[in-house]
This record gives sequence, structure tokens and C-alpha cells, in this order.
Amino acid sequence: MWKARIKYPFYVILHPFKGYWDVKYDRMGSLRIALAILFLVSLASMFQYQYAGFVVNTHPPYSFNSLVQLRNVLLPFFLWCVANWSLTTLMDGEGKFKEIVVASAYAMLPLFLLFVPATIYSRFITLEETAFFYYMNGFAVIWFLYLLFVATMTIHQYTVGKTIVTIFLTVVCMGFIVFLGMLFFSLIQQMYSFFYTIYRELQFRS
Amino acid sequence: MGMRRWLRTITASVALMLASTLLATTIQAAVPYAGYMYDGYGDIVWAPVAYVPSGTVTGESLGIGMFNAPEDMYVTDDGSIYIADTGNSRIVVLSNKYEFVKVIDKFSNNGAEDQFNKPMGVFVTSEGEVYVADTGNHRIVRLDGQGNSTLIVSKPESEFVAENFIFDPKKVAVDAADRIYVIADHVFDGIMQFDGKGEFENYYAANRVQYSVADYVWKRYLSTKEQQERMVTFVPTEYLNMDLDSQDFVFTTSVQPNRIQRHNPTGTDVLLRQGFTAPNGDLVTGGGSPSRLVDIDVGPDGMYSALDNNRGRIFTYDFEGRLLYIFGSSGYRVGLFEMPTAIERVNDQIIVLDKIQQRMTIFDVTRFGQLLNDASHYHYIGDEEKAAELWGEVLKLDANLEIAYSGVSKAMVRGGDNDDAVTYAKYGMDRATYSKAYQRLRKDVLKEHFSTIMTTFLAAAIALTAFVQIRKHRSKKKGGGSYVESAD
Repeated sequence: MWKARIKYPFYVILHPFKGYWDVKYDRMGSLRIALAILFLVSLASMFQYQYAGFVVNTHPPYSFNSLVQLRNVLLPFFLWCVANWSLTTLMDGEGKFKEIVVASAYAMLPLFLLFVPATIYSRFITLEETAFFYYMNGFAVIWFLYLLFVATMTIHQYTVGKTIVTIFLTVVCMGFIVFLGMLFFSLIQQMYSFFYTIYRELQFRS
Repeated sequence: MGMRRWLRTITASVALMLASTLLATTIQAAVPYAGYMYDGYGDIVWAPVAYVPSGTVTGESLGIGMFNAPEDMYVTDDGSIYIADTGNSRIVVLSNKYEFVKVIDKFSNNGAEDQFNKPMGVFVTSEGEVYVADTGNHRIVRLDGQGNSTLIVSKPESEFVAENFIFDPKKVAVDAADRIYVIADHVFDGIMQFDGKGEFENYYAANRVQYSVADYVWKRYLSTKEQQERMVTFVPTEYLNMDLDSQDFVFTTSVQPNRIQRHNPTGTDVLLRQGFTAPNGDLVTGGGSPSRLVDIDVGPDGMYSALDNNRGRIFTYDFEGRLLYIFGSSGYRVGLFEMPTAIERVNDQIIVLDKIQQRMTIFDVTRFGQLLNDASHYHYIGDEEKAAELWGEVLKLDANLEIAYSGVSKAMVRGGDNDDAVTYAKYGMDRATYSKAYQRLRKDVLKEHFSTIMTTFLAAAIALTAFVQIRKHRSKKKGGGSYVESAD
């Protein structure tokens, strides 16, 4: 049972159309595996940030913060899922929220699979050989984007054109969510300071 | 017994007091600013101070009355210092010992006596001819050693110069071929270049117009005609100052993205920018405005120092454009500046003129600064061995200086010490040298352990084949059995 579950994401990244179809209709996806992949990708990005070889690593060693790295993966991921779900509900998408999470997380597997060896490789190279490192990283990202595209298309049963529009709108929607979030927090802050001022005023008068 | 102990205590405390007063007198000469550097990540790293203030020269100390808003300085090859005392409309000449020599406040112009009016620039050729940018009189004046004017350059008559143009020359420089370079106010086409007879030749090293895409789109397509009329036109930035190097290439400062440029005779910028960032002064401004480099002085070995009048700092770079040291700051004490206008070198000293403080400050090089200067000298002439030795000395004073680690690692690569070169190049953030050293190191390690690596590799290959064969064999047995059964 677990063996098949663990093996399945590897099948998906190699056969995305059939793979995602089965995620949707044969319940082959697993939320736990999806979250595990997400965590592994965060680990891989931390690993690359800190342990990439000297010739490709431009980060000051003292700037490393694993929580920031975790946030850089988790926040965009869940923003994407929420924005995508909100939009596709309105746009006749057939995907459920859980399916979006699972499919998007499975699409991130290539990032983990290629970031780790690329990072190890980068520790043994000279400046002239960095091209392969960047190629590997770039390939991982392109593979990920392709899988995300197929995932969106299959999960929601969209046409190619509609998928492209949806992805574009999802990105815009992510921007809106961030904006609203900031607005919300700044308003809360203002309200808090307003009530706190009233409280202080009453305190001084009594 | 008790008595002796008392005596000992008293002697000890007296000695301590004496020592502390002695120490106090040496500490009195504390430097009024902190030394710092920018590391390979663009962050501030504290560093020893390369130059310390050692004295000032004012008009009173020379006995000629206060300076009044002096704008420019020039130091000749023999160390004579010419100061354009702008507000007093005079040129003050000092010896290389900072002693008063003479004041030039009038000259003979074709027999008639003539005077300067707020001169903002001065230049002296190796033949001793003094060029003065006589700003208030809208002209350039050339004087011979006797104080007679031998050439006067006024507003050029040329098709490139507008009718209503007002010629306000601010800085002047002259190359070995007697070509005169002039930075004039409200000229956006570059440096004005005149020939030896004072005839206008052309504009030299024109700056390109700098504007953002957003500005362009807004101005070109989105704004209304009324808005456009009220908008400022896009014009290239003016040069702030210039200096000639030993090859007569023109170093300039401006407020462009590349604030320091070095122009070849065709006016193309050929400055080497091999440092972590282009030589532009401060990288971290804490929200303040960027460095305004009002003057530049090219020293020996292609080294150059630029003067920032926003924060009163002096940035020195080597000939490859790598930051060597920073010193100076804003303030009122000796060694600090309010509105510095000019920087020059007198032998090993650096002198800076301030137009609000009305004084010239002299800076002496420290041991740290001298080591850096010498190390870059040997690097410049290509003697990496000697340079590395000095960089090693520098590292004893400043273990954070990346340029020193890089210098040491370069010599190590040449000496074949790849292992240490890799470490030092890493400390020095020098990726090119690291690559060179690492490539050799990797080759050496592979060669040395060739048999071990090959043996391991072969063993692994054999083990893998064996494993695959056995697995195949087993599954055949299992599957084969059932196959036989079903065949039956």
C-alpha cells in the first residue's frame, strides 16, 4: 500500500496526463505524500541555499534562515492553491481543493529530485562548469511548470487555452490576496492603536 | 617589611600614573572617523584606518587672510600646490612643505593689468604654465611663469555652440599635446575640448541620456501636451570633475550610474571594473542619497581616490577598480569635512580642500595604508610574489580584507600550492582564482587516488552485475517453476 503510494508521484512526473487523470478519478493521490513532497522541496531549497558550492553560491553564510526558506516554499504554494481553487470554482473547474493541493505538490517533485544532485555537483566544479548546474536547476523549474500546467488542465478538465488564462488569473489573484492580507493587517494595527489610545486616555483621566 | 611593601606600592602606582599620562598623550591624536570596507556581499566590515589627519593649512596660517570658498587644487610633479581661492579671486601657491610661495591675483594681459573673477578651476602643465578657469569672467586664462597671460579662451564660436550660450568654465585640464579639456556649467554634450591655440575642437566623451522605461512611456505616450510642456527635458548628466592619468586618459566623475569613468582619446569609457561592484563610492547609504563624487585624483600605479561631499568620504580604488580603503567623514573636527571640494596627492600624503571650513587638511598614510599602497604597486607591475608577501603583512593588521586574501591566493596558484590557494581564494571571494586552483587540485587528487577510485568503481560494477544476475536467476526460478507448471 505505502510502497505504491510512494512510487506513484514518480509515475506522475513521467506520465503526467495519465498520472493526474488517475489522481482525479482513481484516487491515487495521497495528501500525506503531497505534504511530504512539499517539506522535501523546502529542505532541498534550504540545502541549496546553504550548501551550494562556492562558485555558484552568492548568499552570505550568516543570512541563512531556515524559516525564511520554509516560508518561501509554503507561502506561495498555499497562495497558489487557494487562489486557484477560488478562481476555478467560479470558472466551472471540476477540481476539489484537496485535488489541487495534491496535484500541485506532486508537480514539485522534480524540484527536489534535481536540486539535491545539482547542489552536490556544484561543490566540485569550477567557474567554467557552472553552466550545467544552472541548466539542471532551470530544467527542474521548466519540468515543474509543465507538470503544474498539466495538473491544472487535468484536475479541472479544461482546454489548453482556458488553462493558460486560468493560470494567468491565478497569479493575479495571488497578488490580490497578498494585497488584501497586508491591508487587513495594517487596518487591524490601526484599530488596535486606536482602542489602545482610548484605553490610555481613560486610564490617565481616572 | 611593611615599609618595603608600602614603598613598592607607591613606586608602582607612580609608574602607572606616568605611563597612563604618556599613553593619554598618544591617544590624543585619535582618528575622528572609523575605517570600514565593503565585503564581497556588499556589507560594511570595519577596517583599520589607512590615512590619518596630521594637520591643516588655512589662509591665516599662511598669513594671507582667510580662504573664501576655495573650489579647486592642483599639485605639480615637484609637489607645488596651486589653490583656486574662488571667493577671493586669487590663486594661492604653496611649496611641497605647505609653505607659502606666492599669490596670483593679477596678471598682465597684453600689457594691461587684469584680474580673475571667482576662478573655480586651476591646472598647471609640466612646463609651468598655469591654466585658470576664470568662471566669473567666462574665460580660460593661460599664464606663463612671469605672470603674463599667453592665451585667453572665451566663448567658442562654433556651429555646435548655441548663440545665447554662456561660457562658465568650472574645471580645466591640459594633456601633453596641449589639448585643453574644460568642464563648463550647463553643458550637457560632454567635456569641451580646445586645441593648443584655444580653438574649439569638439565635445569629448559625451554622456548618454539616462531615463527609465516608465519615464519614457509616460512622457512619450501617456501625458498630455500641457503636461509635456511643464516637464523637464531628458538631458544627459553633467560631469562634476576630471583628472588626467599618466597616459593622458581622462578620469571623470558624474552622477551617472557609473560615477567614475576613464576615457580613452576617442572618449570611450575604458575603466576596469573588476571589483565586487563598480567603483561608485558608498554601497550602503542607509536611505541617504548616493555618494556625490565631486573630485578625483589619480595617484601612482593607476590607483585613484574619489571625494564624496555628501558624507565627506574618500574612496580609493586600485587600477582594476577594486576598493582598497575608505576614510574621512562629515563633521567639524580636524580630519572631518563639511563641504569638501578638491582632493590631491602630495607624495605619500593626501590633501583635501573644504570650502565651508576654508581650509586644507593633510592626511598621512598609516602603516596599514602604506602596505596596501605597496602591495597594489607590486600587483600593478606584475610582481605577484612580492605583492603576496605584503598582502600577508596586511592580513596581520586586517584579517577581514578580501582583496589581501585574493592577492595571497594568486601567488599560491603560481607557486603550485593549490590546496591553500583554494582556501585563500574562498576567503577572498575570488571565484576566478578559486576556479583555477580548484581545477588543478581536483586533477591532482584524482591522479593521486586513481587506483583506489578505479578499484572501487570496478568492484561496484562487478557487485551490481552480480546482484542483477542473481536476482534474475531467482525470479526465473520462481517464475520458471510456475511457467513449467502452467505448461504442464
